[in-house]
Amino acid sequence: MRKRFSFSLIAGIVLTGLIVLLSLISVFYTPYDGEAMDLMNRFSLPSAEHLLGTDHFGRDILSRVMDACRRALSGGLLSVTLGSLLGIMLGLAASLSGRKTRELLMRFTDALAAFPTILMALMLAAALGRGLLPSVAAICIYMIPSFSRLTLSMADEARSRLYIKAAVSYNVPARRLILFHLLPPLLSRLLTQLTSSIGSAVLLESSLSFLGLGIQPPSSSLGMMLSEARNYILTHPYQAVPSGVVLMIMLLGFNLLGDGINNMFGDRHA
Amino acid sequence: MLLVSIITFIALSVIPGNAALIALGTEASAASLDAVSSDLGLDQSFSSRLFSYYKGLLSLDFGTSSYFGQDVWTLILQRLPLTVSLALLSLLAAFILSMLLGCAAAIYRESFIDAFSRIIVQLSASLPSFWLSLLLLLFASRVLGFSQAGSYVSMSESIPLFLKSISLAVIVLAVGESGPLLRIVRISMIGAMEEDWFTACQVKGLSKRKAVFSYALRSALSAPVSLMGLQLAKLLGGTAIVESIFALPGLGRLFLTAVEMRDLNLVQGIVIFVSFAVVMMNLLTDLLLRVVINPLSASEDRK
Amino acid sequence: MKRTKIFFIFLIIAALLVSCGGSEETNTSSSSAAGGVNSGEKRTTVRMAVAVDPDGLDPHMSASASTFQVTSSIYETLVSVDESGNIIPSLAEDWQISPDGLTLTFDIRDGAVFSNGNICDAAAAAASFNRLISPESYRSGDYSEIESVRALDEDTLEIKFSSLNTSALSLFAYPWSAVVDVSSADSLRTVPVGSGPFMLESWIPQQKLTLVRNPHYSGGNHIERVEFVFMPDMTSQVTALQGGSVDIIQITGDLVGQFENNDAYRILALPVNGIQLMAMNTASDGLDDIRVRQAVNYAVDKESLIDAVWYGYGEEIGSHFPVVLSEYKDENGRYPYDPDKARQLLIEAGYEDGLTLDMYLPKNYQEYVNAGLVIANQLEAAGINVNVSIVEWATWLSDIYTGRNYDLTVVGHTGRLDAYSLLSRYRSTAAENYFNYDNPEFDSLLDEYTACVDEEERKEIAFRMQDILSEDVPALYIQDPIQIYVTRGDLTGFTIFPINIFKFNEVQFI
Repeated sequence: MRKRFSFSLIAGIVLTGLIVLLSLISVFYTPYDGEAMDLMNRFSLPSAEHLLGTDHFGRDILSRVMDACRRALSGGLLSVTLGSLLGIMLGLAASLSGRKTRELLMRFTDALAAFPTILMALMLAAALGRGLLPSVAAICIYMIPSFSRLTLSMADEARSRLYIKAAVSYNVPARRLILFHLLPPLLSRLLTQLTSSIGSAVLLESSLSFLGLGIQPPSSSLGMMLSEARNYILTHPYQAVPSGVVLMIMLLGFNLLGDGINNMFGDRHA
Repeated sequence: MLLVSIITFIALSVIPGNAALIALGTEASAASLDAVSSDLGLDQSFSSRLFSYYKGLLSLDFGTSSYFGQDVWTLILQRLPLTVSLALLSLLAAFILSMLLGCAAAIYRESFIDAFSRIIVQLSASLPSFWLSLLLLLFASRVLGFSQAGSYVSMSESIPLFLKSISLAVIVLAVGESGPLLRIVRISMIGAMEEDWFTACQVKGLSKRKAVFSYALRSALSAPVSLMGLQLAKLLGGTAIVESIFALPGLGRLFLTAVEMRDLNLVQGIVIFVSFAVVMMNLLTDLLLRVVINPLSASEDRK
Repeated sequence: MKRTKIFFIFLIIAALLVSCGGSEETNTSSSSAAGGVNSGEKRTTVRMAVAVDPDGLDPHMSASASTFQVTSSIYETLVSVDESGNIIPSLAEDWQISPDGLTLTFDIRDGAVFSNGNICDAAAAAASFNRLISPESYRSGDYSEIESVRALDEDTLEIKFSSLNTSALSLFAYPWSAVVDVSSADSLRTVPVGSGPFMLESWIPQQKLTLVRNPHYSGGNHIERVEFVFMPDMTSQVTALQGGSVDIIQITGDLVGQFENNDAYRILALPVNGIQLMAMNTASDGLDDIRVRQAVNYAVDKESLIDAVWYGYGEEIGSHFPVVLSEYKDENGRYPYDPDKARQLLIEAGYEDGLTLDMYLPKNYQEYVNAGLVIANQLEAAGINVNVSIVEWATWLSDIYTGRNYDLTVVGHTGRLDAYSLLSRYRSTAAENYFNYDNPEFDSLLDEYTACVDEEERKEIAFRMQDILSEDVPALYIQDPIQIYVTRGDLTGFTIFPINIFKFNEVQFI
């Protein structure tokens, strides 16, 4: 009954593909310089000249959206990769270590999870300077607890299985145990988690920049463009449309992709 | 919790700027800066500040907000009715929606309703709350001609007006929460209906409706309830963006201002309060599950 | 069906929690319950939307404009100002200045009483001024030349200065010089006690602050209550006014169209006493050369800047002086927009390969951020690279304003009533001199100004100081902002003053 390539998977691939394509193109080409102002030509609606119109400084919205996509995508990928690696390592370490260390590590993750992300972003901005980097770091830290918990619970589950018990009783070294016996069965679950985490990382990044804590002007980010549009919502409501729609497509794409991968591995309960 | 609050303390000492500078603004002179700093206790060493704060905390004294000049505990209490009702109402709405849709989707699988519920799940996860807020704000003021933002009426003044003034924010939050909830309701309902005992019930002659509503629903409830515990905890601390867009004076907006104004006591108070709430929520959910749901899973085990 | 009870249990818990929350609210703010929307014939409550909360309600212990907007209705100052900045009586009915200009004597109004019933006589005023000049007070620096404050008798207050300051009288009009009841000094931040037309009823931060008529105030009062509703977002302020839940809001130029040509609203757009500028750190590499600073001035098209950021609502200026003051001199046109000239000056200064400057913008002030971005764009067109960083206000104050660690920054200054208080921040030794400006001629002109008794001569000195600043350009002087308030059409008497005060006792509904 379950299709291996579900609708979600295909739609997810198409939508994320679109976003990735847009981001890749923006490296080589944007219709205009996304930071160049044209004060004579503000708040224009979509036209042949500016496909998505211009913003409150007369900057081309399409170019800004493309740049913003690239930043969101790379920020999301980077923070999730780092966060998941750290989280998985933490989880495995907790799973393999003694009771006390394990308790300590998990309390540490709990503290991380409870720490307000806004404050974290601010603190990191103070330490690392402004821009994409501190918010990537903050999101990365935000990602750690969920991955370490997932890894820990799955590793525990796996360890209770017979073949692992057998391996342990044969004195297989710890590194071998992790690499060849514990990790492989976890990979599909982690992959699912990873894909949907990119979506939440993108959302978090845009929330932070909506609050002015992420990427700094004049560079564009989707959240920032929305927070700028908020000032003109009564006079120029169109301003809120392009960045919002693109952000939605991006999130939808990653969520569908995560769903699709999940279905493919046949694990509905994740 | 202690760890969290100590990290907060350190964080606030690391970020540049302090409350004394904020208070003096562009009028700062060296002498007045010293006076204000000592007034706020900022001239003391880090450890002595930490010590005196925790000493106060033991006697439930959260200190005074350096920005508002009011008692931190009072400020937090003033925010609670709004933040709690935002969280509860939106969760309630999300719960009702996902129960109805989730059960229907599970009963009529692969039907129109099932597809619809999947779309809702995806949309809920993909609509950024701040964008949805902007759209709703625009829609309300343009189409409904009803200016919701900015006309906050507190609960004590008029409950209907209070509900009206928070309605849009509740919708936004409910949309965000209903997705995960709906997904989990659907999955656990399907899971329950695939169990052997469910088939057994029908074999024994129970109508499908009865089997669904009196048996499957019960056993499928534990996952959504524990998720809701987490969601509630999250909502208590995390509605800052929605609150600031709809100009609602809640805990999240208070937190944003406190951080911006380097109001150490206030930030600390809110962080401690929220992490306490999270811990309590987790305990409460555990308790609820153990008392209400556990007898059921025990009986399941017997089969 | 007993398991379905789980729903109901949950529902009941939810309902209980909501109602608990409700009763808590009633406890903390039961006093404000009375203040709903009156739709009666004669409205006596005026509601104004403001963006931020006051920073406490003690005028001596605040430097925040949002505080004085509120405290100016609660407390009285010895003298006050009218719309054009002339000194008028307030708590003091009359005053005398001694021939040497060093002693000011004020006649305190008979029967002035604080809102808690304490008598507000000369002795009370003297105690208040002694508090103002003590080191704990935020403004003590402005009053450091006061030698002594004495109550000669019940109605007479004598203030002696150690050196001549011909504009000393205006020091007693600013809202931070308000007379407070010193016996309640410790709690003034939350429980203000003054002799003004209104007194505090309740203040729920980020929600609402309510003032009610002070029963002890003898002056006229058309309205009973003033409510400040805190709304950080302009959009919500606009919808709130349109929806009738507030009566006065302040807007930006782009929103004027929402209210124009509509009798239901009254638009008040007036230049205020203040200036907005882009400061240049005259001690930093590159900007220490006057030619570079001139190049920056040539490179910026102020008209399109004001158009882009303020929608044209602003009066262009060429020096550090608001157009509303009588000593203002028009310095516009000294460095007109001319990018070619800018490039040429940069080459002359040795920067033919370009120059990179760091610009810091305070995040909380959207308009300054926008202005900075537009300026950066214009500077880049003229060959100056700009690295823009947006910093939080707290960071701005510590690193830029106090630390002076910057090249360029856009910010605004509120005006004063005389040239000396306005321009003394350019004194080479001043703590507020974040420009690092150092010009001995300017320093001596400042001294001359305070010692000069002849009004015409003083005006000449003020002109000369404006000339120097507009030549030396330690900043790119942008504009004197025009503030735009929109009120309900049936509300009159609301206006803007050259200092940061409101007079709500003159407001009424018709």
